[in-house]
Amino acid sequence: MGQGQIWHCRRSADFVLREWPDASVLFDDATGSFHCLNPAAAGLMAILLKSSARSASSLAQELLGEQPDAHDVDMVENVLKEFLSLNLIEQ
Amino acid sequence: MTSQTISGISDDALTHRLKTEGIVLEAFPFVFRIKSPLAIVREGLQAVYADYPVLPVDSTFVDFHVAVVSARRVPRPLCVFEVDGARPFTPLAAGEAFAFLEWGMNWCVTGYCHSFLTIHSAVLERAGRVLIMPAPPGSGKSTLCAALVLSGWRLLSDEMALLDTRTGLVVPSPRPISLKNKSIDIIRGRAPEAHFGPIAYDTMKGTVAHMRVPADSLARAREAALPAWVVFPQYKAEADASLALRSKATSLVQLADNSFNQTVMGRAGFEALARLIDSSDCYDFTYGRLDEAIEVFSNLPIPR
Repeated sequence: MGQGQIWHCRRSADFVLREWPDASVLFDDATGSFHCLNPAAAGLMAILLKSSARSASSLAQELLGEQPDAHDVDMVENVLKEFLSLNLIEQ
Repeated sequence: MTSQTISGISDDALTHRLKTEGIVLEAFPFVFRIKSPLAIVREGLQAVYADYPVLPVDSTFVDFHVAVVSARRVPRPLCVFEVDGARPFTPLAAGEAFAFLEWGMNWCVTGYCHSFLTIHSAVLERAGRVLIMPAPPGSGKSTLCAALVLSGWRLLSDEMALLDTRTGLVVPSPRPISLKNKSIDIIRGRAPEAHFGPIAYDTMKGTVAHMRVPADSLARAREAALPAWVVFPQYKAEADASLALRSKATSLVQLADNSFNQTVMGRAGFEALARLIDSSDCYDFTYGRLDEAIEVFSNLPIPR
């Protein structure tokens, strides 16, 4: 379910992502808010910031560097939903 | 030409000037014009600002025009802080007048100075690199700061880091160290020769006294330096000293929480904080004994 949904980040110009090995910080210049991201979430956000609209499956493939299985896609979709709830991305 | 200092002005002359035109005090990088008819303010200035330059009143650009004046005499004497003639705070007991001046001067900088990113923290320097210690009240920040200063660290500030967002350097703003309650006697015991200002009793923070900045820290007030360590201290009675590396990402967020004006500076402020974190190692530090703490800090490795 949901693997056909398209995700994108319309406000990419508002964001600054600083990555460190253990965790990263996303700054939202529009709201002044900070978001701590684990390495996987930061990697996904980095892809979204430089990508046009993508499916969860396509995003998972780029994140993992290989064909994702259903579990991988579900995990990526959960992170995308979290980003959506924080108003960082759109469907 | 050698500039005049507070210690070079007689009691009578200083009293007269504070009551009339005021004195223009250079507390680098800021200039304050200070007026007060209250003897305790003069005594405090003489005790802890003795070696600060006093500049000409008529030909100096002043950042902040401040005063502490009497507010009421009965049923008990009060005083009030003024900036540009406005009174942003409710009056306090007259015995708190010098502490009120210090708090008011800090408030002026944190509220109006946005040429730097300001972070609530103690700031010290050793071997050309800066230690930033952000911490909430009660964490033992100022006590630890005073002890480190007495052990040879240079004081940049007991109250705030001034981060130059263009250069990434921390600019000193050495002003008296504010000590509270038991810390006053602890630090007096370690440095009987140190100069303290008037003691303010029963303030909202308890008993408060300010310790004079060491001469070397004042003499080097224009020497900015690169951050190397961000340490979040926590005092726990009798705890063994414990230093633990912590995440740079969470350290950045906590630094932002401790910043007075990151929200004003937006993206530039975030990027300055990120560069600061990049150049620094970040730690949590718990301690219960000052001598152990000093030993730990003396062995902090300089980040590569």
